[in-house]
Amino acid sequence: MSNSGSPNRPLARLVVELYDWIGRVRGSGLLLRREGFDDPAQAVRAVDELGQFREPAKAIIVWLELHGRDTDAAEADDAMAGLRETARQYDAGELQSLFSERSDEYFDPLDQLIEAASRAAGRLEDLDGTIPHTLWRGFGDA
Amino acid sequence: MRDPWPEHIRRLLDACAGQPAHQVLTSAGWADLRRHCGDLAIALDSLGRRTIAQRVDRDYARLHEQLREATNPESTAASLLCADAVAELASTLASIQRFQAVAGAPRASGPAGIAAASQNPGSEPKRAPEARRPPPTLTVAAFIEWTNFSHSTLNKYARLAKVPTPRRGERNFRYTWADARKILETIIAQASDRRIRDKCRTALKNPPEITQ
Repeated sequence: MSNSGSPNRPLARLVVELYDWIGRVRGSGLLLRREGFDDPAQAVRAVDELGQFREPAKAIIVWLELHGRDTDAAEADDAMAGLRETARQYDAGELQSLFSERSDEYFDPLDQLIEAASRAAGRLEDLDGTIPHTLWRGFGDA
Repeated sequence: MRDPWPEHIRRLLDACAGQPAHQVLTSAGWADLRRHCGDLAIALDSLGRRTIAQRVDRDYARLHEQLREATNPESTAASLLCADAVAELASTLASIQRFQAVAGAPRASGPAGIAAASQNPGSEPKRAPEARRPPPTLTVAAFIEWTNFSHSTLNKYARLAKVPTPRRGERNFRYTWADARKILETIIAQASDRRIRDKCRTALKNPPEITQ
């Protein structure tokens, strides 16, 4: 991600980017596609993939703190930290397949990573709904 | 305020990812980083940017802890955690640099500043007249009335937040506003019960009348 988000609503932009990423991972797993049509896809680490969201998220968190919205910043921080921890567990092979009685199926580690990312995106989306748009004025100028 | 994200600190953090942990921890560059983070946190704190000052402190402390862990070459998990800690501190410093114009301006601390921020969320709060007075404080009863916590919950999280707590039988104990916020922020960060976390968020948004 080259941009830290839309100048108007960076948090909403981050949420969209996260959902896009979730969609890609859901469709083709954690694979890096090369340019050429016959280039082999390469497996990538979850922590490396999620690295693209770190700076945009941190900029949002610091901006919220600078504007006295510490609890909102803590919520965003907590959502991202939870996702990063699941990604670390995924890469370290610490996630085991889990049987979900509710959906009557197994959730493999990738499903759990996707679930964690969806949860984080949902929390950020909820947070975005509580923050006045005027708070982001000046964010994109820096 | 000094440059939050100078070139030599960037280089050092890059090196953290590539060099053995013990080499990083014993380098002169590491001493520079410690000094830099300490000075930056003090500068931010003096400008009323306490939460961000705490973030710098926390990110530095976490990286230090992870590097010490990483001196154990057997641990794969430690290397991932260490890389995460490096990237977290780097992104914090980079964001402070990015918003230096805002971060370098003083802001009011305490309830008046928070109230000003929530009334006018798009702009920087102006320094409140209360900022020149002695720090505001909260009695235990006022804290409990404000948050609806029990005595035991308050004490438990005050200890976790490492703020002073009343001694057994002590009367007239008062929490400083900064410590009160620290307790609530600790609960938000650590409590597993979402209702308690929500209660704290609500409390922070609705500061009580503070007495001196």
